[in-house]
Amino acid sequence: MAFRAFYERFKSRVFNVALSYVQGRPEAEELTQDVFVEIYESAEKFAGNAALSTWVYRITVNKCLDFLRYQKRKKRFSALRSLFWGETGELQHDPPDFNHPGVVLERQEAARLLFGAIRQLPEAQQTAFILSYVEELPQAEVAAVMGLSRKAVESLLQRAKANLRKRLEKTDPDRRNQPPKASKSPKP
Amino acid sequence: MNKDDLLDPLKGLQRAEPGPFLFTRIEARLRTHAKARIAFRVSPATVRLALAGVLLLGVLNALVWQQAPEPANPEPASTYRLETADYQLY
Repeated sequence: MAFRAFYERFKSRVFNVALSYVQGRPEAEELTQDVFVEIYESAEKFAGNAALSTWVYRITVNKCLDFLRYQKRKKRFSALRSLFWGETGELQHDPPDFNHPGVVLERQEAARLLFGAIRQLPEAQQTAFILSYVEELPQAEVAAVMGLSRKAVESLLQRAKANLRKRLEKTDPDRRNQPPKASKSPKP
Repeated sequence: MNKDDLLDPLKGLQRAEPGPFLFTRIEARLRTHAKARIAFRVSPATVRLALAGVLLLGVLNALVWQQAPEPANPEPASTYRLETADYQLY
């Protein structure tokens, strides 16, 4: 009963973080399952030094990164197979374009490009960006989840944004000429 | 591209919800894990007992092997050779 209440409290956060990383509903649900099974089985390991949500986010991020690493290994192996045996297995591991179900309709195309670019970021930048701007966690909590200082997170976010800008400009050169708009900064 | 455009697509982003049966699937997985754990759970006392049993069997085996009497009339090695020689074609 207590576990059900815990699930209800955190399911949305876990699922949304997983969705931002893996960019597919079935995979995100699978990862959400993995996260809650691990939480249930390692509940006694929770020392209480960090906030409960920080612990949950940390497990979620680790599971997501493990999944992405596994996908990359699979893709590399498929590429090798196609090289030596002429199979074209690598295509089935490339994720299709992702449309986040929570994005406002008129921003769907831009969001699709942005999530595609997020997927190509290095792991640490990806994590800092997802937790800060998609999940909208305060920077102190992002730092706690990642086990870094707030300055380090800030620097990761700056690099992530610069990388995203570069990638998006390559995908859509017209974006360079758009007029400035109000900015959105991470929570302090 | 402007600095501030980057996060525009995330404005007004709604939270997505997992499927309604996800908790049932998690419960099913937890039950499977629990069954597997019970099946493979061996108490330390059982492990100690099993080790003592193996040790005892080893000692008994060594004792029996040491006390076994030598064969009274060992068969001469040449007999076998003679018998097999009868079947040789050349």
